[in-house]
Amino acid sequence: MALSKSSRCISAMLLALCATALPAPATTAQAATIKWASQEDAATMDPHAFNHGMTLTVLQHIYEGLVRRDAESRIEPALATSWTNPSPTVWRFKLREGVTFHDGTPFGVEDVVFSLKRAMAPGSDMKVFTASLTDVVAGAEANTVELRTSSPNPALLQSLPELRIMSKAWAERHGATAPADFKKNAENFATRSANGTGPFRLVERQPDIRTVLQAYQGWWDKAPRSVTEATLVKIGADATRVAALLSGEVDFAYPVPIQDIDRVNASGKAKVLQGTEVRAMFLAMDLHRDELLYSDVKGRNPFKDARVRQAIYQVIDVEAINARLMRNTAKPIGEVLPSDINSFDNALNRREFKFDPAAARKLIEEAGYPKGFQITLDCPNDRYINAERVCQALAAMLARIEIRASVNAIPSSKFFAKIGARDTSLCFFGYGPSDFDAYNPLNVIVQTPDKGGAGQWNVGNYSNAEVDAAINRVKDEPDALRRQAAVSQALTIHKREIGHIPLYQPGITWGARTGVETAVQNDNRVNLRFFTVK
Amino acid sequence: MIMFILRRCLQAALVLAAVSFVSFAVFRYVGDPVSQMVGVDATAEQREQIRHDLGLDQPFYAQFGRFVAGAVQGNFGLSLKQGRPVGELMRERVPATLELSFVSGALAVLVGVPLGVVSAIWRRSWLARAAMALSLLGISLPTFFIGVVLILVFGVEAGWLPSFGRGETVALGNGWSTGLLTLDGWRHLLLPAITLALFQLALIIRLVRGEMLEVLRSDFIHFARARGLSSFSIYFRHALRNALVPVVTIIGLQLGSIIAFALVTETVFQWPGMGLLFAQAVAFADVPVMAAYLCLIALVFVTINLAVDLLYLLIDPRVRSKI
Repeated sequence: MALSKSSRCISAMLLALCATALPAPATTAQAATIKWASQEDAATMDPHAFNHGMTLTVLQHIYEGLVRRDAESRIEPALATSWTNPSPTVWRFKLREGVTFHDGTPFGVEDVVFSLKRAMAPGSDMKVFTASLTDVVAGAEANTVELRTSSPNPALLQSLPELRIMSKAWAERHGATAPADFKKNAENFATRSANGTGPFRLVERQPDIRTVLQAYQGWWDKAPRSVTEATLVKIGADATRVAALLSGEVDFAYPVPIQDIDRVNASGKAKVLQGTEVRAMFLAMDLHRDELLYSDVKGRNPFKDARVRQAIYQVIDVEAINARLMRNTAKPIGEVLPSDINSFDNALNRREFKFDPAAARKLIEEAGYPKGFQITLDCPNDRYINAERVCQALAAMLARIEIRASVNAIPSSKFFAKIGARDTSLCFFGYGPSDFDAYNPLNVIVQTPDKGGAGQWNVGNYSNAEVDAAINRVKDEPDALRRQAAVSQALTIHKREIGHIPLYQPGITWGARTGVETAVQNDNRVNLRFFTVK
Repeated sequence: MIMFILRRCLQAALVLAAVSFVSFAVFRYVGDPVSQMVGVDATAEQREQIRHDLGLDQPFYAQFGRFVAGAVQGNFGLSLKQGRPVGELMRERVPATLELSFVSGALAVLVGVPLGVVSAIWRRSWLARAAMALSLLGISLPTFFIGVVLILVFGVEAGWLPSFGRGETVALGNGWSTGLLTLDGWRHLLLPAITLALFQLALIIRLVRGEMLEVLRSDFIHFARARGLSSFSIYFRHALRNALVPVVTIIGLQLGSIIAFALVTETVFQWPGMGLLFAQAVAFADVPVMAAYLCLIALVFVTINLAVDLLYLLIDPRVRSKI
């Protein structure tokens, strides 16, 4: 909203004025009991109802999957202790013994079968993670389950942390056997209550106000946990959230707006923990229509000319955007996939063309647009860090080769509907694979759109048969090396053809008071399990 | 008389209908709630299915008809964001907003009226000058700016008062809760109440001052002086009473705008009231919540105006004679 933006810039001005800080009040929080503030709240406590970052952030404390991610986001055993893949479409999991739910009931095979089927049911928003599953059954041996997939899915384990296990008996007792369904015009018991096996129990839940988690004493993992109780409060306004951190009212607050990083670090009371988010920001161009919807070029589509795409690529100074607008929190990249994900060679994220405005000018003249052209750049203004300012900077850079881009900054509730309908000529957005696997973004962003769901956010309709064939191999290839080679093959072509214009991975900025330490999770999901509090 | 009341009620109903119609028509341009309701990974078919299940693919008049049919029965549907009945969400949020609004209103009146009187009587005193300066600030500074400054000064630098939320509340049963019964609640209430009160305070100071100056110039005050009444009696028994008549009208009408403008203050202080709920609903394109909020605010304004009209009827014989 315009309001919060102006308040943010006013507060930044003020902060510059109030350079002299009075002595800080003593922090009243006792070690191990913390209060953390986030920009938004979880939408529901139902583990399968909403595939949404903050919702899953809270839920990962309460519910666990068969496997989980460690502090470096690598897969490790959780409710399953080991697994085998006896045939390409069958996975067997040995379940952990002695695990109990928060209400004291023991965890077992029927809970896993029930929960995974619940995640596959109509109304579940976790179907992207269950897409390859056809059935879940109890294994032949005691305390094992068998997952069956329609085709070989070498990345199955990557999806499992998000498929969280509920107690079957609890769900049945409270009529929550299916994810909360909007059709029935009623909420579900599991929307506001929870009963998992995870490190924390839900003890209080007031949506959008406060959510209290308490360490579960019966948790199977005996790894030391520093936090015994945590209260999550939502503080939507950036200035207020930072103020709460600096005044000691909260021990942890995120995100910290990047213009406040220096002030927080200089306060002596708190510091900013930084990381790089698993999300690629890029520009998508309409490569399909013969005439662009939002341009003054008639009768042809300038983006179909590779020289125009390269000119745009070379006139954009990503380093300058990172330095000036992102205060060096971001990381420039060369593809539409973020680094450090499964089956992805990070070398692909070296930028293909260097920043060179003179070369760009030459290219655009060769392509027959010496006077440039007019274009609309669609841009979401409430989703990504400084998105609107980045778009304005991009427009200013494009102006150097006479491409007159008018920035159309709109709320994401309108933006995604617009670009989803392909009602765009040039747009700025980002995508991060929620399963940390290369196949998902290849399938969603790069592959040719079809009825089967491929290319859902390939809004410029980039299409190359060779790339599609390579992506289809990525889907089924069980051998890790060959799979990675297929990813590289698809992306090398996509990169050379400039199917999209890759920009950067945004930074993560978490604010912690002195004495609170944690590893920064690159999916931007705070995990209290990794906190140490003094 | 009865006809007058009936006519006014009918007009009020028309206003409500118009507000709900206009707001509902505008919502279609706020955005697509479905894109927020499912993860980015959801397929196009899943989105269509949800759109269909929610009736969002129906034409505008059908959606509006459904909304009105529900609304007259007090059923505003289910929040798209939280999946809970809107009526229930509103009921949870109303106490916080009313508490903030009434404390702000009381603060504005209790501080504004005396300051207005003082600055009219002792026009050159330092207190009068300070009051006028304060009212200038209150009129000209935007609310969110005042809020952020207060947070920085009293929350961060001095560390005296909390900067967000409602603090400890006491449940009164029937869904009502209050922060007025705990010290912590008052500490949390102070900064937002001052922020919200400042504009009204400035208005009241200037209004009372202007009216007082007007009344003090009138003949009956000269006669009172000639009679040898004490200054106290002239100022407070005669002048102030007469000056307050228009002030009371304005204060009554301003009560509605305090409730409506609480939105900005609530956003800055993360005050869990209806305004915050509305601001969040706009970002999400949560149509049922937005519609219910706007109708409720319209209802507040309409009710206050109706009450003021009826009060005039009682007070002013000239209105009665025209009927």
